[in-house]
Amino acid sequence: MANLIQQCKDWLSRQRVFQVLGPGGADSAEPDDSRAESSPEQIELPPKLAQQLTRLVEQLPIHPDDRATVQSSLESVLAEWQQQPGISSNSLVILSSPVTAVSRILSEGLAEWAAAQSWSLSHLEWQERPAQPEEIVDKLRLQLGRGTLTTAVEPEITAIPNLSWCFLRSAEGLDGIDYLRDHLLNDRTRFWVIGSDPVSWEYLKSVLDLPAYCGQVVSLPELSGEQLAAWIMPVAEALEIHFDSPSIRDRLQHLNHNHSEQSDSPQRFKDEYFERLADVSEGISTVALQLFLRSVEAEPLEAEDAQDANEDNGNAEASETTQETQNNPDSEKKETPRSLRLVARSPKLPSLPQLNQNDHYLLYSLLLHGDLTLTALAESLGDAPQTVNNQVQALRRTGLLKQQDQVIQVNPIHYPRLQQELAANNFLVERSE
Amino acid sequence: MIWQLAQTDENNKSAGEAAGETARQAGQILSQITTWKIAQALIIVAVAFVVIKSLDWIVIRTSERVAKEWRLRIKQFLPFIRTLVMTTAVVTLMNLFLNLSRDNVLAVTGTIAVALGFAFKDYASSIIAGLIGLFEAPYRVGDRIRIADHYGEVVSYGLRAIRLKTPTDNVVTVPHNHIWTSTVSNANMGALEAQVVTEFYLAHDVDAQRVKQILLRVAYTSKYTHLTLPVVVIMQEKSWGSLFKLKSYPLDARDEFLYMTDLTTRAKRMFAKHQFAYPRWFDANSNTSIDE
Repeated sequence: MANLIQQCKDWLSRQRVFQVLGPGGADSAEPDDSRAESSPEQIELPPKLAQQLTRLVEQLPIHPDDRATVQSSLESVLAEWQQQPGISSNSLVILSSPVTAVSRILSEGLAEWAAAQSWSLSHLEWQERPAQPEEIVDKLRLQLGRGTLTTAVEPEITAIPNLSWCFLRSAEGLDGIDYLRDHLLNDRTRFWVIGSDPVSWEYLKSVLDLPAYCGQVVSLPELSGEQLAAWIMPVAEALEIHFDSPSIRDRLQHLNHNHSEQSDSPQRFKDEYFERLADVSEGISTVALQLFLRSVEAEPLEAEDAQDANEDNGNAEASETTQETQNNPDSEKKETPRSLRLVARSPKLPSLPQLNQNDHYLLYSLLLHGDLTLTALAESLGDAPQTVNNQVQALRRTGLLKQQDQVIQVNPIHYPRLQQELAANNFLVERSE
Repeated sequence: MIWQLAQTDENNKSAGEAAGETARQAGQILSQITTWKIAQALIIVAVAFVVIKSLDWIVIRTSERVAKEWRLRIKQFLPFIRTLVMTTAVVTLMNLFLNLSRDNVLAVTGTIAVALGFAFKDYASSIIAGLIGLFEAPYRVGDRIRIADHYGEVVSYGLRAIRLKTPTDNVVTVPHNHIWTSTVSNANMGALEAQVVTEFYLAHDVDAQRVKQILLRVAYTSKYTHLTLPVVVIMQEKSWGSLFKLKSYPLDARDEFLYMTDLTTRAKRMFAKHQFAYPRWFDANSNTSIDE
């Protein structure tokens, strides 16, 4: 009888209507479908291999197309400003997602370009937000202020790699943006390149009307499947990651794509994998990387394949040379146990845990600022640090947040769904298509 | 005269016959009430009760779990569904016992009208007001209203009354018939947002412009503020000092009091930092109320 009741409960819990009404709600009741279609033979990545994979992914350079977008946008706007410095807008705003390190894209993209073009480049040398919000203005003035100019100065490019570090959502935390708006952007001898994200940009637009003072706003384009493949494949090749055959659903979704290869060729699997990756990650590089990491699994090799692999590895070890470059993913020695092979399954976003209103406030604050220390987060929420810490630890356990040293961030893999959830709950977040 | 007597006698006779007929019909109806019919009636009542409670649970639970923009829209279904179920149950019961022919309907209606006229006048008034309220919508489930000296969120819309959840978490039952005679102040009229007015009292000599800037900044940096809706500061001079009203909207009207607390706390911190003085005394004789 007990078994019968349990079977009945299991059946009910599988029905969609009961999932919506069940204790965890739609999201929590939904199984983690990213793993749902995996084969029963799949096994967890050995820790050493997982570390190696993570390290390779972390070592990837910024996407070359992001760099190209920054440089080409700057060239066109800068040319206009040089022709009419007194009239044309003297700033360019680059927007990336709140979970993408826009500061890295700007710093690397601009340094290379300015050196090649012989432009004088200065930038705000901050790696984080000042600890006290009331210090932001003083520190901005110290780094960027010039006082009253009495002599003509050479025009220069000044970069603010991450605008989020220049404010904190608190009563005194927006003074830094006031300062930028009132003093710096009016300095016509400088051309400003500002890195930001759509969440903070919309906020500053709503509160301070900052875009009215700035020039062109360029959003980094979504990366396509091909672009992601060109970027990530060195890692996949270094670790001999195979691409799993797509599910029927994925095949149906990409039915219209023309593939010249045979329907079951590895190339076709790879192309479909990256198309799916671009689709699910909304073309955001950091989300795509996290999804890629999550999709890689190990599975045992068949006996014959294992023997072949052993022979291959033996040959590889014998012919291994010492010409390896440390940062080149191709040079990483593959440490896959010989009885395993790595397979990238179809990438899928994880479900969000059940979130309450206080979680929404906290997560919006993190998206608004990109990253925050606990003290700054508490200040931006107007709550006690201890209360906020309890909440942060609970969200960390669900995987929604990452905490490195003292800095708390939203886990990029959850960004697409979190963005949808916050937009549906009245928060000032653009709803993705 | 004889004719008149005969006529009176005729009238008495016909009245007696009518009374007898009614008694006969009533007896007939009563004789048709069987144990099985009573059992059926009890089952209908029980089923209606379970259906109403289940639908209540489903609608409220669903509305609380979906995106906030859908919460109130889903809750609006609640009174309609309840009314539909109750009406169906009542009609089924009447049909079961009274065999609703045209004559029976007229007889029952007359009887009920007389009974209600005396015993359940207010009850009937509330039910009728409730039905009208469904379409006129002076309040809906999820609205924040002030009615009959009570303020709170409408958490339930029954056939006879609504239930309000007050800021102190009391649940107040207010009959619908208040809408005949009382005013109903509705803060959000089916929308998720409701304006919150937070008042600040300061001395006459404070820098009003600076205070205004601080209040705007405090509102724009509150986690509760709905940023796409306007934030306004209004100032009035009173005999005891300056009254500032900060008008803004929280993301969720339910956070109204937490929002006011957040605004007040953070504004006071800024006032202290700028050493703004508070009014020294209130003019007790003044006709000006601070509630104005």
